[in-house]
Amino acid sequence: MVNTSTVLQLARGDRERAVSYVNAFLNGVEPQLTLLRESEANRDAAQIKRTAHSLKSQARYMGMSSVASHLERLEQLAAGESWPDGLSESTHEAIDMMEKAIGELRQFAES
Amino acid sequence: MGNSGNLPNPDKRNQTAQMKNLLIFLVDDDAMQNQMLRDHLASELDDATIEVMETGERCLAQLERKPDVVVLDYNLSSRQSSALNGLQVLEEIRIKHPSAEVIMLSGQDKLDVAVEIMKNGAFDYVVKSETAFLRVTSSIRKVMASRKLKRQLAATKRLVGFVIAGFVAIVAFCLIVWFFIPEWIPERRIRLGLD
Repeated sequence: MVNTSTVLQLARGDRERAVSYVNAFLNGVEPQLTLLRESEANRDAAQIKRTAHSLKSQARYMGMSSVASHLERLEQLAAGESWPDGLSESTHEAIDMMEKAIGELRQFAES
Repeated sequence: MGNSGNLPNPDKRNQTAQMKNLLIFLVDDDAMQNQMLRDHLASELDDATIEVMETGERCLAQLERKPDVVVLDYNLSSRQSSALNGLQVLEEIRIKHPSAEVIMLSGQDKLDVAVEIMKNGAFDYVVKSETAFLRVTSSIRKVMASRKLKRQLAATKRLVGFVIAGFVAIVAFCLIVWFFIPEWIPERRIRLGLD
């Protein structure tokens, strides 16, 4: 789920710096996941779109390319005026993928 | 032998001189992005002052400090829909401080977005990806190289102007002497019967 070589490349091979980037991501990601859950519960598509957009770039930096692709699709799905079919499922799937990736990143940061 | 690794790198030294007193604004509502990019640029660009701002409104309020480069997020209204977006901020920068170069960062890899941004006067458009920081650094170096060339061109123009003015002054002096002070020129003195 996570390609840690991406974050290492971003940190120009400096593992300590890469870990500081990962920690910065881990510190900020939980409130965004909470926001995603609440937005789904409140059927707030606009907020899902904004949160998915923000998480998408962060996921790319952290080497979570499949998560980033899913978040991009979620962002597009949530872009409509109403609550489209499949948005709830897609949001839950994004949250599950993010949680798995976060677990892998925690292992990388602690190893 | 073997101590060449400790010698200063001339390229790096030139870049350092080039980056002296460079003021960069990083404008993004994503704190993680700001922290990572600031860290990256600080390690790549010696003597650059990097200021982080989370809104376009704050960037515009600080424009009087005359930043050299503004690295601006395209989607600044992602967390607060009423906030100015990157394109609006770019337009304001072009009006209020046109000499600042704007590098637009975007999560969208779309050609029409890139075209719109470049049409509005951005120096470069960089997609947020694993190579984004390298591209931003490279873009900032291009800005500085371009400014250095402009400074050299202006200095050359001044020099050429000075040489032309000097030449004109000498010719004018010779003509004045020839027509109005003929006694200074022996041949003229003879011809005019002054001797």
